[in-house]
Amino acid sequence: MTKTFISEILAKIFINCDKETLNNVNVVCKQWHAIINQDSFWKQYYLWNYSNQKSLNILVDNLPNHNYVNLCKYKLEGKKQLITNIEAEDKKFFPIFNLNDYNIRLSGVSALSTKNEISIKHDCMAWLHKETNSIKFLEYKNPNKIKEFNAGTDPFKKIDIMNNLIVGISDSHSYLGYTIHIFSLDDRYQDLHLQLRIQSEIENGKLNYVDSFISDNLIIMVTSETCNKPPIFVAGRGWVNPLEDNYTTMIWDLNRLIQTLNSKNSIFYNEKNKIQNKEELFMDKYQGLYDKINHIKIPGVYNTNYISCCSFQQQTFTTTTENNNNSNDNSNNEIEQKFGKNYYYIICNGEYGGGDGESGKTIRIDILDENLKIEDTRIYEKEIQEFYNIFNWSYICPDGTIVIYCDRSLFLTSIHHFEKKIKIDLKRRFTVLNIMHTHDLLYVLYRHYAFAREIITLAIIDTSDLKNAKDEIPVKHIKLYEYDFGTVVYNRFIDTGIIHYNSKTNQIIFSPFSKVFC
Amino acid sequence: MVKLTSSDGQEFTISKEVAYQSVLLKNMIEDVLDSEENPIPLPNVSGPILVKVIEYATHHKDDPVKPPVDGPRTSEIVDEWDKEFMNIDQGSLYELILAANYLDIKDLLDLGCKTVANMIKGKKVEELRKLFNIQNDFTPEEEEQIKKENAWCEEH
Repeated sequence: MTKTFISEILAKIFINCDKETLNNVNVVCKQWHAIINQDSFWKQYYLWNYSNQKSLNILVDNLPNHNYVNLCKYKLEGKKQLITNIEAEDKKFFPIFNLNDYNIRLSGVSALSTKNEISIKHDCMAWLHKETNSIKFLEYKNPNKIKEFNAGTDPFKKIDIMNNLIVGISDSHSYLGYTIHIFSLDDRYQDLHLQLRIQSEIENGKLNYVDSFISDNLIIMVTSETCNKPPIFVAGRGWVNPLEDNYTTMIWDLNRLIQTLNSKNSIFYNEKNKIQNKEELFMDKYQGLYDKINHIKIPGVYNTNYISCCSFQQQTFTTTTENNNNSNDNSNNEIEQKFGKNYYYIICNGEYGGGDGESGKTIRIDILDENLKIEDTRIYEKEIQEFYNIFNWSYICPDGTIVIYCDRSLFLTSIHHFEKKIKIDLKRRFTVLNIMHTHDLLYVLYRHYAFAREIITLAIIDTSDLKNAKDEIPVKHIKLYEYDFGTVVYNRFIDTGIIHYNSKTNQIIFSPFSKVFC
Repeated sequence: MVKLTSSDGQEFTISKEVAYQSVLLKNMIEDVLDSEENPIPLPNVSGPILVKVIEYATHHKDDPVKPPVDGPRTSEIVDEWDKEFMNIDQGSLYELILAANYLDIKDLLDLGCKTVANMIKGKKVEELRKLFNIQNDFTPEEEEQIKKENAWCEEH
């Protein structure tokens, strides 16, 4: 090419380049060097390559050193570079918000149920205030304006922040049922309070809460209900009415609700402002929002203890053949790349078939389409040689990798290859706190005890090793935090690091995975 | 129909549907009511390149509006017709990219840039200079310094 492109076109070419090419482009000449060392180029590079990554987008300029340049460099890093800060001896932490400065204490939050009672994000947090049975919400940029959401006297079992909503699950004192309370953080809907109820279907029946999971704009709750089976004759006891637990999984999809509320043209906002007798008519307006919440009920003979879920998007390729007269001419064949609709994996572990009350034998994965229609169900059953090791909890990643944690080990398998199992022996009892799966690495945050101390460690597994591994897999364990038993501690992965809170320092800090952000 | 005149005086008649793929032409047609009679001059586009542009615009005229990409971008050109269309000499590729930029045909510009990006993929610095006929205007010290600054992308 004998002529020189103008910088604007060169930038458009370079945003399609990989790291190695950019590295070389940088040294070609001063013009090229100047182009790829401008912030505007990296913004363009980011928007072209990564702007579909919603969870990453929200971090731009909202965390220390999270500008477009560093975010792109982080995304372009190799596997070994991705964890350069977290594995360093002198790892750096960045304070995000100091609760002491505003005299805020998360009093009443129990150290054992932190994950149910606190939700901390990179820019905001919510916590359960037990004294008033309310949910408090704070945005770090607006710390003097703490919002409070009340829902009567029924105690909250779990709270979370979902998009622009606050979700709380409360328990009726008498096992009659449970209520999901939905509040809005949007000032336009300050008085919005939707309530989704699940109640016992049997007269005088007791509905037991088993577990719930809030993620990907879904709320999933598992309950069990004890009911009488037909009488049976038992030797020595005569006719008895055996009891049976019926388990039910309820799934509520808030995607459409969120879409409706976030819409700038939302009638729920605009019509409110036109109505004179606001209070009365506004209630009717909100009534219409219930139609925006799709839900399904999965009854079943499945005794479960724990539930989790994740969404994934299926990428499909469609080949369209145009009809031309020469059947051997494939020049008009077109391959159309489509990103298919969203699907969800709903995973729970327990016992399939019911009956003898033993749990931790099997894992069930329901694959639901975006309308919550079950497309497939897969069952993973424990083999006899694993009998000593019950499944405590399981988690599924968007690529189908399943992480099962047992008493002293982790098992990795895949929904696509149940026959392949990798055991990671931790040789101690532990609790998994959080799991994150990226294209390159699987991050598992776990806690274990040493004397009167609790230690939080990050296990990092190279997912390409996972594909090739037969029995064992190299795992990097990085000790992160240590504190006294009973300290309220919260940890959550975000795309570029870990958000951490502990009640001793009463501060929220961020630990980036990579030195790019240091 | 719309008449276009290339920089070398060639005249082309195309449908408005085809012309509207270019934001520049669309604006000009809307501004100049009698574009059917008076050809629109395109002093920055030669006849042979305008032929290519029209071929592209005609092939893609019925394409549905593309939804926003919801997945990782790829520099790979998936469409086989596009791949074959871009199988041209480097000089023409250069002219085509400039024409797409001038006429404001986003998809053609993206396609051209992707094609060049694929061409330079894996090329060493010297190969890039040769390909684009670029003189190295860095001093050896400056070049060394830049290589040091590139440490972020070195695998350890």
